[in-house]
Amino acid sequence: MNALALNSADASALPRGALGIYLTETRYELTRMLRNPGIAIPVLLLPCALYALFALLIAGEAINKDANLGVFLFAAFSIMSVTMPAMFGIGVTLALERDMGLLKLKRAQPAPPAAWVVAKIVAGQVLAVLAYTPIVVLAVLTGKLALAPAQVVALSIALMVGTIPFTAMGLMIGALCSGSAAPGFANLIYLPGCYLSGMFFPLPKSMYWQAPIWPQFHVEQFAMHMAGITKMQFEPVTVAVATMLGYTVLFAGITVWRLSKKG
Amino acid sequence: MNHTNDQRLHALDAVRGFALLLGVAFHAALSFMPGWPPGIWAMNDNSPSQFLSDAAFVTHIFRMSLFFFIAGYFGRLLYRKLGTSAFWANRGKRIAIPLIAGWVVLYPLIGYIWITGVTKVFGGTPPPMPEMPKTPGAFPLTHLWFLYQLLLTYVAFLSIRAIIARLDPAQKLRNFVDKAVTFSIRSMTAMFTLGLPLAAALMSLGFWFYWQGIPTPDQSLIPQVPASVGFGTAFIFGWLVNRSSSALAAIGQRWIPHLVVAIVATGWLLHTMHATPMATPGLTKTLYAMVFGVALWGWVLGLTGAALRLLSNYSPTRRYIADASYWIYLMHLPVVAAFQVWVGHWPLHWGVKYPFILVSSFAILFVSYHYLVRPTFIGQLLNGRKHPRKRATTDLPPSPTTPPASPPSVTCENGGVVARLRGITKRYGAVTALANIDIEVRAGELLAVLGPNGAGKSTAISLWLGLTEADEGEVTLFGGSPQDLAQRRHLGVMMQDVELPKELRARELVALARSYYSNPLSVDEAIARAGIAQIADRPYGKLSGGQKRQVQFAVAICGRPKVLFLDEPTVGLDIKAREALWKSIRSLLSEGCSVVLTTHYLEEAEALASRVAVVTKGRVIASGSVDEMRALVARRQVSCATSLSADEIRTWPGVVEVSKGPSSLRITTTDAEAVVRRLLASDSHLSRLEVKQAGLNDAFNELTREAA
Repeated sequence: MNALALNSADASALPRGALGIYLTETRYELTRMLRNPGIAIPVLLLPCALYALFALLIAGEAINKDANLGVFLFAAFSIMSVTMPAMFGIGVTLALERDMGLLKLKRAQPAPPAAWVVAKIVAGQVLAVLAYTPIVVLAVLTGKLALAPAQVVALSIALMVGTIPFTAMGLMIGALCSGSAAPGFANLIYLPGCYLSGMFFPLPKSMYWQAPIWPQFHVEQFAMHMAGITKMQFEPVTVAVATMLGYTVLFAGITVWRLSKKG
Repeated sequence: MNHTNDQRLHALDAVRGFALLLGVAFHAALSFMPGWPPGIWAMNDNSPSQFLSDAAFVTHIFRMSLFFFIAGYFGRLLYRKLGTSAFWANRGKRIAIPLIAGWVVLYPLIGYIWITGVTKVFGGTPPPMPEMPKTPGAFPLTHLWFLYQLLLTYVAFLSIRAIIARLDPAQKLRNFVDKAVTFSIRSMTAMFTLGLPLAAALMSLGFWFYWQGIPTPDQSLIPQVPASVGFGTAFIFGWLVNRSSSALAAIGQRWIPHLVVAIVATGWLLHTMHATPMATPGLTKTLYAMVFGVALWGWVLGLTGAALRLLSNYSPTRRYIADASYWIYLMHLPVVAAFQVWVGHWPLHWGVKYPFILVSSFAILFVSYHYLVRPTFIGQLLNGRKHPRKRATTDLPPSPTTPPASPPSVTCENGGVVARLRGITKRYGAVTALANIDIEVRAGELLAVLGPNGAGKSTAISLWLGLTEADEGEVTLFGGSPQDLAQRRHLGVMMQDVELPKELRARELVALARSYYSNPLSVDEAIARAGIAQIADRPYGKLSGGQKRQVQFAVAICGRPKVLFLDEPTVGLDIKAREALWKSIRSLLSEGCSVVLTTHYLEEAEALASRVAVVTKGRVIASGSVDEMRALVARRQVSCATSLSADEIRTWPGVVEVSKGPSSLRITTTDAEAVVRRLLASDSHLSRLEVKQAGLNDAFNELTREAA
């Protein structure tokens, strides 16, 4: 063995804490999302701005007369706020990174294999909290959300849980599409769901049959059950949870299959 | 034992642990079975669950077969390592003693909890406990039956093996079987045929509730036919998979289709079972038994394959759980049953009670493992090694039945080789990217890999980086596998066609990359070494192409790598930046770092390389020191029209090659002056004399043409 004989004591030393790697990776992932105007502006501002427009200006009077309308509008835009980061923050950046060869580099570097995906999911969650907080603060301060504090807390937790299927959907789009196609596909899958699930406006009866196709519908139903808003419960909570779980497994499965095949 | 095998063992260890822990979840569900008569289990919960009944049925299809399959695989590994007598001594310690000692301790406990539970179920006045059937060999083995069954399987299988070894001394039959095993997995015929013997045994059962699957042989010391056939098949197939060199890889490749078929078959089983739970002789029973075999093998092969693909790296947590699983499965039944009895009459939904039972039982069992087993003689007995408590989560324990895996240490092979490709062939579809290639990188040297586009340079680097796997041959990095994180912690890499995140600043990119290493440079030091101090605070997206390459270089060196892979590092750099980079590379070399450099710039190779390898069409066509390569550069070409014959000139000193053109000869020579002098002296009519320097480029072009 020559001068470069590598010393095995040094070699077996583990890096300073796997947790440290995950934290660093997550911090920079979040930094990236926040610095990218293409992600930060639509994700953070759009739902809040739309909520302010509809709930305060357009339907302000109507909400004062019918509190349920306030809950309906709040649910619509808060679901939008928590699910958009998953679609556009996680999905689109993943597609771009695959194009850039960044995933390949991470696999070559001694990064823990799950670090990037955990970082993306956590950063997406943080972004969801950042997007949701102004809406809930605005709704409570202006009195447009006639719910007890415990209901608001339960609703908020339910919404965060509701990001899970969308996170899986975002990862799936990121794994399937190229960087240039991903925003288009994300919109193609996401926007029809927002309308056809009855989230933005009540559906005519003839269209009820197709609402359960969309994950948005089940997230909203789950949130309504958790907050105990009986007037807006259209399916049992077990069905909502099972469907969310099913979508998560389906999308995550496609993601894993695709990434293990193509990288 | 090489590293590829170690990785596979990690995956299979995880599968065995999974099968055992699944057994805990299975038993924890049994107090919630709808329609079970009171007294059949320790408790009948007041909140029964069809969902848990179905889930328990699904896990029960395959969990024990999966265990026996892995036991067969590891059985052969152990048998080959230890030989017959040491194998039996080892099995005695790890299987027979836990069976006997476990039974003595557990049977009274289980009995006590059962009586308490059944008393509770019957409201304080239980009927007399059913007596053991008065048949020969009747014995309450409890859940430890699987150890007894495993011992019986060892005896039966090793006897058969001895006979086959005698009948087949030239291994012809066994070599054929090896091939058949791999083929049957690849073609997915294994999953449809392996269950047939079991199906036949199940069809012959007089009373068969579909839910029970393979009837549990826990009531008798006499081997039961369905269990012996089913688990025996699994054990033998596991043994054969270990024999066959490529069967495990095939299982890894086919995991998705196996799981898909398993899910479809299981769906049908559930549907049929809901219609008629008890088998009646006829077509349905036959079909059910056969589909049961398909589902069973689909799960076994699918789950094993999934683990091979997804869990093959070493994870301390998984290893800990895998080690703990044996103890946990041995001890779980009284703990789980006690919780079931305790919560049985609580007015709560099973969705609350079942997780409570599971979490509480696992908590008790893991804590007991950590403090009572892992650091003590019990851990020594069950897993072959005691673990000092303080280092419990950081060291690398051997698994219960596997030979100890080598620790992830970084060593140079003989002669200080840090990275090696040996006999590597890699194909992408019909294209052969590398054809039986051998390259090694020695400690402290810079190996320049030269070759035209598409020659296979980047494929070679990808293999060393663990990004792809070779079809044939062996890839080593510090004597281990490049798939192993521990080996990769000593490499730095700069790849072609990679863009870093444009929103992050150079400084942040370095900070992120250095977090992966155990002993990295400081951010400032890495930045200074790469010469990017002036651009360190600018976003990567705003940098020029050359500046981006410099930042990538900083990312590559920030972990103090012991081997650095640079794929075309100076493309797009101006002369000043290129020289600065060369300087950094030289200083790394002087510190003992090895470097693998692919480049199109021959002067780069000349300026830096200790050795050069020329690759084209997936083969190394020339390799040697820079001086040897310079000898190639020193060649010159002399062309002229002459009456002298090519054969004559070929014999002259200094002539390397002579080729005939339409009206002239072309002579490649290492001593052009002497050849020209002799040409002029020998042929006074010589005309159209021309002398050309053959650059390294020409030399390589010529070499690569020859290779073509």
